[in-house]
Amino acid sequence: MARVPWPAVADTVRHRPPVDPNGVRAPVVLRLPAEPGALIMARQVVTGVADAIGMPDDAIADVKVAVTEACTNVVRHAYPDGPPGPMTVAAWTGGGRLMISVRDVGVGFCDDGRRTSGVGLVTIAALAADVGVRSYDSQGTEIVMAFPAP
Amino acid sequence: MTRQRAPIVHEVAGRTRVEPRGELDVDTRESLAAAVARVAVPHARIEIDLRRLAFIDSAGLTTLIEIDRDVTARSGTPPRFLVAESGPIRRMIELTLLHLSLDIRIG
Repeated sequence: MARVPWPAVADTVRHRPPVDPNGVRAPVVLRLPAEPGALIMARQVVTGVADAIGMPDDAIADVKVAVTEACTNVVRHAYPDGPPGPMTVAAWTGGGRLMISVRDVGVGFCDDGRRTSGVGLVTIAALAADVGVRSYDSQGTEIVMAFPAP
Repeated sequence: MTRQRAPIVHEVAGRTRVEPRGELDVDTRESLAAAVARVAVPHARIEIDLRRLAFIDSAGLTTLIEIDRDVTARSGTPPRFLVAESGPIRRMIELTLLHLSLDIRIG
């Protein structure tokens, strides 16, 4: 998958939410354990954000699936050894887009052959208007998805 | 918070219908797979009724493929999947072209 220009700057050390180019903090940040039971919480929060900004139902459904795919990837692959680590879901708007970031501090895409671009990322690419993937050196991975916002 | 409830299993016109409800993802797929696995075969015709499902992702779609293989291997007949005419389930199935390889009935 092609990497797209990074729309946000994240604090990779302290695992802070991303900051957009104008320095505005992500308005919604959710920190969850990277475990299956957290998926529904992530879905519900992004659904609330998408609904609050007036996205139509079919577009909200796409956002839900894409975020679930990104979070499932974290749950399955980011922390192969030991207990589930953190997973941060952040959502913000700007430039007519809803941006959603899913970030972990586990095994990066480049660190582990098991963490490949599977069906989850393909699904995200099919549903989102834009996708960016950043793998931090041994400090996890972040996927940022953009969706058209009203 | 809405959790997936256990699938309903009942007989409809000579078929065994398994009806998952709520959301189907990596966290909830096991309950559907287990419900289908408990259906006695080889003679039963199995329907998976997805019309009361509100959400599905690729893990859920993969579960449908696994169920299709499992039921076909056990009974010799692929299961039939019932999908609502509109909504996210049909969209995801058609987006991934699963309607071309599974026995999907819309409506």
